[in-house]
Amino acid sequence: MAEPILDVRDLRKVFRSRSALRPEEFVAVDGVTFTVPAGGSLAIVGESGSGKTTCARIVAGLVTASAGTVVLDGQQVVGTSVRARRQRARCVQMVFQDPYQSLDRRQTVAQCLAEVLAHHTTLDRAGRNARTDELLDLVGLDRSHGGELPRALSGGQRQRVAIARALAADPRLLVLDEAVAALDVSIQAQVLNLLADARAATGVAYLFITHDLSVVRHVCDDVVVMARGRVVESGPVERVLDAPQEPYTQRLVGSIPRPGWVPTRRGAGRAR
Amino acid sequence: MTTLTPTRRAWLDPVHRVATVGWASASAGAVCCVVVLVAVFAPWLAPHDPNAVDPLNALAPFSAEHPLGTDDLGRDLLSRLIAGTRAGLAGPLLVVLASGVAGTALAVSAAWFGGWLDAVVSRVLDILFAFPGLVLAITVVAVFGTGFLAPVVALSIAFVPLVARVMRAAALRERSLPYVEALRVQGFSGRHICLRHLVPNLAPLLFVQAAIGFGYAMLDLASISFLGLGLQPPAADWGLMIANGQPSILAGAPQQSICAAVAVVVTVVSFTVVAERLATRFGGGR
Amino acid sequence: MSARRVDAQPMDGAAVDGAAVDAADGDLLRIDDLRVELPGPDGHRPVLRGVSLRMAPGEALGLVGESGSGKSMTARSVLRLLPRGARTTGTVHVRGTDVGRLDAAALRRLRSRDLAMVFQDPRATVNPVRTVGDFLGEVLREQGHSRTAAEAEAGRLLAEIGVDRVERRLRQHPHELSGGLLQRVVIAAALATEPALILADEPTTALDVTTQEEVVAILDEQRRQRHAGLLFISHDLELAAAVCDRIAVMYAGTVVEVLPADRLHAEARHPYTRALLRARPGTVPPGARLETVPGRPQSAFDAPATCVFADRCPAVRDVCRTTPPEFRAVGTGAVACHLVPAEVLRG
Repeated sequence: MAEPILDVRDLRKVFRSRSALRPEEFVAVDGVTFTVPAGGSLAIVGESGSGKTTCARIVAGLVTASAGTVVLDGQQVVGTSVRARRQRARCVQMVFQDPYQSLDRRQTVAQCLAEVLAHHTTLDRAGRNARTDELLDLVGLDRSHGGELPRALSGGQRQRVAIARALAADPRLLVLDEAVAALDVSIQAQVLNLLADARAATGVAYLFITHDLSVVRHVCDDVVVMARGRVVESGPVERVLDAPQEPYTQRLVGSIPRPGWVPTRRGAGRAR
Repeated sequence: MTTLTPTRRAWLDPVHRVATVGWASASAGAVCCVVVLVAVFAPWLAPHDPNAVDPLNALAPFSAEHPLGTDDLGRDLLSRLIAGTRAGLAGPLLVVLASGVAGTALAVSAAWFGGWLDAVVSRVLDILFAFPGLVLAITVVAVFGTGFLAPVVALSIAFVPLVARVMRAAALRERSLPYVEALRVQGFSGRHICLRHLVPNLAPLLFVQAAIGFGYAMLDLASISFLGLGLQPPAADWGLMIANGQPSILAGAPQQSICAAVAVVVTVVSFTVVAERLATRFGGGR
Repeated sequence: MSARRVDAQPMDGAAVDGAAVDAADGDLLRIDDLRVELPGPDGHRPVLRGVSLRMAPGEALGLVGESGSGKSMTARSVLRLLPRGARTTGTVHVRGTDVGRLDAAALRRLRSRDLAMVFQDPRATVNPVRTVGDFLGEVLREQGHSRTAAEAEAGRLLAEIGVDRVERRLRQHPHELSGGLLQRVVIAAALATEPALILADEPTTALDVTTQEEVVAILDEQRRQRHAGLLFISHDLELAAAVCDRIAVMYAGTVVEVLPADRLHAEARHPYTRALLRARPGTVPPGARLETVPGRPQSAFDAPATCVFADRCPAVRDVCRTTPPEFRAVGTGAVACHLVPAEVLRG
C-alpha cells in the first residue's frame, strides 16, 4: 500500500480570544483524523463553523495546530519559519475561494507565475517562460493571457491562474478551499473538468474543502463530513452520499436541491 | 472572446484623466508647475542678485526696474521671492519624503508582525500625535539650533504619525487579502511579501498622503521661519521675509510682507488643491 | 429587433383558456419588452435587452441565470430601484399600475404596501445598531399599527416563521443572530406588510444548505398561506424549480425560455437551459467529464445582437447570426430559439 501523501491524526485547534475581560476559547477542530492517498482525492464537507476551513489552513501551514500531527509525504513539517514554509510549499499548495482577491492585482499573470517559479525552481528566464506557457496550457488559458492584469480576466479565468500558480511548484497535494464556490455554474463545470484533467496529467492529490455535496460526487473519491469541529462520518463518496448513516449526514444530503426535491421544515427554528 | 472591460488603450487613461479635470484643478496645477519651474531655474530667472544690498533704494515701491519693489535693505523683492522658492519647496519635499518612508516602514512592520510590536508602535505614534508639529519643531530647534535642517527634521518626526496611521490601516486591510495568504503558503518570507507586494499596492495611497502633506508642511515650515527658528537672515526665505517686512508695514511700505505672504498662500493652496484632486482620483481615502 | 411580446401566447399549463391569458388587468406582474441601459465609462450600455414576463396573482416564478443575465436588474426594475442615470424603455405593470408613471408618493406606497424585497445579504439589510424588535416594529408602524400592537405583531410573526425564544430575539441586535435566523427576520419583515408580490434576490445564497432548505420552506409556506406572488431569483436551477411554479431562464439580459418547473428536465428546449441542466455535477456518473459550453456567461453588452447565445451555442446555425429569434410558445412554455422545429410550435 503506497504511503499516503497526507496523514492527519487527532488534529485539534483552539482559538483563544485575547480580550482580557473575558478570555474565551473556541474549539474549531476537535480530534480530527483522515488520510489522503498519493494521487487520491478527499473531500471535507461541512457547513459554516464545522472547522473544515481551519483543517485546510493547518494542512497548508497557515495556522499552527494546538495538538495532533500532520504528516506530509512521510515527513512531519513543523513550525512556521520561512524555511519550514518553503519546504512545505514544495509539497502542498492551496487554491482559495475568492478569485477576485487571491491574485496580486498589480502583477500580470506571467509575472505571478514567474515569481513562484523563481522561488521554487532553478530555471533560468527562458526556462521559466517555457514553463509558464506549459502551465497556461495546462489550465486551458490562452498564452496571450500571460500579459494581462487580473482585472482584465473573469472570475473563472482568475481561478485558472490561481490553479496554475498552485501547480507551478509541482506539489503533491493541492488544497482547494471552496475553490469553485464563487463561480457561475457553467464555469464551475469547466473548472471541475480542468481539475480532473490536471489530476490525471500530474498525479497530484486533492484535499477538497466544500459545502456543496454534488461537487464532491464529481471530483473526489472519499469524503469526510465535519460538524462542530468533529468528524461525523467518512468513507467513499458514493457510499456516504447514497447511503448516509449518521443523521447529520442524512440531513445534509437531504437538503441538496435535486429533481423531485421538496424543501421541508424540520421543526422549530434552531437556536443560534 | 470578448473582453470584460472596455478596450480603451491603457496608456490613454492618464491623458484622458488630465484632459477631463475641472478649471479649478487645472489652474492650480498650472501654478504648481510654474512654481516648480521657478525653483529649478531660480538662479537664471532672478533679474537681480537677491542678496545685493542697496540701502539708498530701500522700501522702494513697484517700478520697472523692481517690479515688486525692494525690501528694507534695498534688495529686489522679486529676485528674493524667486530665490526663496528653492528652500520653500525643498523643505516640504524632504519632510514628506522622510515622513513617508519612516511612516510606511513603521506602519507595515506593525501591521505585518502585529502583537507587541504593533502595540508599541501604536503607543509611540499616539504620543507623537499629542505634540502639535509646531510645538515639536520649536522644541527641537531650541535644542539643536536654527537653520534649514532642524525644522525639516522636526516636522518630519511630527508628520510620521499622520502617515503611519493611514498606512497602518491600509496595510492591515491589504494583509488580510487572500493573495497574501497565497504567498505565505508559497513559502515567501515576510520581507519579500511586504516589499514586493504590500508596499507597491500601498504606493498610490502613500503618494496621495504625501501630496496632501506637502501643502501642510510648506505652511508649517513658513511659520517656523516666520518665528525666526528656521533659516536665518540674509537667506531669502518667504516666512523670514514676512517677518522682516513687519516693521516696514507701519512705515507705509508693506510690499515685502504682502508679496511673501501671497506667495506662500498661493503656493500652498495650489498644491493642496492638486493633492485633493489626486486623492479623489486615486481613492486615497480608502 | 424582434418584439418579445407574449400577449397572445399562453405561457403555462394553468392559463389554458384564452380569456385568462388576455386579461391583462388581472396579472400580478406584467413586464413588457423592458430594456434598461446603465451609464458606463463609454456611454450607456445595455443591461436588459427586452424582457417580457407575466405573473398571475399568487404564482411563484423563478428567474434563473448566471452573471450578467440581468435577473437582479429585472427585479430592481419592478421596484424602480435602478441606479442613477439608468435609461428604461418598456413597461412594468404591478396589479395593473404602470410603475414607471408613478410619482414619488405613489411609488413609496407601492413599495411599502404591494411589494416586498428580500436581498441576498441579511446583514446589509438590517441596521446593525438597532434591535430586531426595532426593525420589525418600524415596518409595522409604517403600516399603521400602534407601538404596542406592533410589538405584539412582531412577536407573532417571528413565532410563525419558526424563531424560538421570541422575546429574547426581539431585544437582540443583528450581529447576535446567525445568518439564517437573520434572513428569517428579514422575511418576516417582508411578510409583515402583506405584500401582493415578494421579490427574493438570491435569498439563500449566503446560507448553509440545511439552513437554505429551512428558509426556502418557510418562504414557500408563508407565501402560499398569504396568496402572495413570489419572484424568486437564483443561479440554482434546481432550487428554483423546487420552489416555483414556473421558471424563466435568462441570459445576457433577455429571457430565453419559460417553462413549468415540473417540466424543466423533460422539456427544456433552449440550448442554454440544457447546458445549465447538464452543468450540475450530479448529472453525470462520478468521474465522467461534465458537458460544458465553451466561453463564459456574457452580459447584454457583450452578447451578439441577434441570438444572445450565438457565440457559445453548440448547435448554432447561420440563421442564428442573422436573425434574432422570436419568443414563441412551445408546448407548455415559451422559448426564443431558431432550432425549435416549426411543427412543435403551437399554431
